[in-house]
Amino acid sequence: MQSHITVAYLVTDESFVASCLQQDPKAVIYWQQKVAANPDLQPVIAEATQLIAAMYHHGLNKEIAAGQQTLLRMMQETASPLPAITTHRRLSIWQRVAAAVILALCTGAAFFWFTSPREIQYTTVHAGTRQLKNITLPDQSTVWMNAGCTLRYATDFTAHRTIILEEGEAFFEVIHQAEKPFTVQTSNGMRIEDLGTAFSVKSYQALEEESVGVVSGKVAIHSTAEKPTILNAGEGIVANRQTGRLQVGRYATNAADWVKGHIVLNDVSFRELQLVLQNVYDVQIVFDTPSLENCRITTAFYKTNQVSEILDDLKIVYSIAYTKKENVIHLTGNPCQQ
Amino acid sequence: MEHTDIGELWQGLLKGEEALFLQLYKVWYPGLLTYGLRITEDRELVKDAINQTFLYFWQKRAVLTGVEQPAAYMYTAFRRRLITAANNSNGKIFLPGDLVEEGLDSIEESHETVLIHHVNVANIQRIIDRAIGQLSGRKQELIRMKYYEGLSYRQIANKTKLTERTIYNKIHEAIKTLRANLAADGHSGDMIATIQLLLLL
Repeated sequence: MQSHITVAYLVTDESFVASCLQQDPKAVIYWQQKVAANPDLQPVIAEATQLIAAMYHHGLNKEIAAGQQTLLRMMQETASPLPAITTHRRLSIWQRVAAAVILALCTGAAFFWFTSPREIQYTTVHAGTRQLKNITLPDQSTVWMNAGCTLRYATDFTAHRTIILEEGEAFFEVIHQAEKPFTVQTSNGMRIEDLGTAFSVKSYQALEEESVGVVSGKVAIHSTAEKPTILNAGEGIVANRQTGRLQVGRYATNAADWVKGHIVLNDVSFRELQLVLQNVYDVQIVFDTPSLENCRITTAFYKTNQVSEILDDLKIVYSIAYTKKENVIHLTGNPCQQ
Repeated sequence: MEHTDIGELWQGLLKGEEALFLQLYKVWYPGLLTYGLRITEDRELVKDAINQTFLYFWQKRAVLTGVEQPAAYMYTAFRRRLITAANNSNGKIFLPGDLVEEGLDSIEESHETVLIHHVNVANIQRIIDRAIGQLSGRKQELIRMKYYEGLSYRQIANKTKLTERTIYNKIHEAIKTLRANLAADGHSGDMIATIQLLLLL
């Protein structure tokens, strides 16, 4: 028995603690070898390990309990009005491409609460990967759902013409009824009210921006504490979910041509391109250069194009490189620095 | 590790059941913390981002019904929030790959493989909790920093302005007290030694 290695020694030993908490791979290996060479250390090590584990769990449980209290307090504080979000508007400066552009809009972290129809029963519709779905609503309005889109509509649609766009992109052609507003809400709280219209809404949870574009007629965009913004045909709006920044600009109506299989991406992030390609081609896109995901891009293609054709185009324009192995595509490069 | 049906807890959140929601918080917390600390070393920032993420879930529960993979959604929402917060605070960020790149499994695994989560402490936890609760506030804090946060003596010295020697001595005393409590409750070294030795796995 190596008498100098006691439980007290181990528990206060820097390297042994780091080994138990798996903070240091070298320490883990060292102690594994040590015990392998000295099997009689096993009981002492087992006791020390258990003591450290119990102290670790004590700390974790206390922290969780404290966190739960904090969370409860936050839930109570925000049950009433949410913090106002400053919204400002300016003409798009980041649109580098002439053809088409989007406009922007706001986020209302909060106002969803004032409009949330929680008692209403909903019917959920989902368009899977590679699917394009066209549904007719009970009021005869139609919705095109792009691949990966999920939305819910009030089952009693004639009474509540409310659509909740949970994820993805959808194009609405609305039968206007002045006395019964047709509204679309995004998961982020943006609310679009039809004023006689065909319009497209895009709201991917994984993306920082959501957008609305009007093809014909007009819509009213509702956000926190702002009076509604009216958008006419050919206008659009982009909302940044995090900063609350709102940008209004032109909307190329061909951006809604995705309903016909023509996909137009105007000044969007690579992250959005990634989502679109995943939804349309069922491929997995991996950014080997992580900074790539926030770089912006403009491109257009048909669904009948091969994914490699699209990437070959981008390769030239944005100086990126890709490798494709079965359904996984790796992208590298940094077009932001151009 | 606590094995609770995530699906059931998630449904609880969707229905606005506070107790199940808080349980969900408890189950997901260790994984989120581990993941968050790989993004930034600012522990307070990580804890705050966890709370903000859960607050967001609670507020938006009415529109979360379409989420098909709660765990993947949760990590994505958390990661985005934490990175934004870390950027704003000019904290040091280590960017691990995105979920898409890394896969949810590897994230969950990195937390699940932490040995400490698998050591069976059920039989002594209650005694340890009580014994720690009876230590002085200073000693409790040192125990927390050393065995929960896993700080080195030097890091603790920097935070507390105590010398490393003092810290070592205080922790040593505290350990002695804890072991005396265990022994008084019949958990002698011999009994504990019969427990499976995970370190050897």
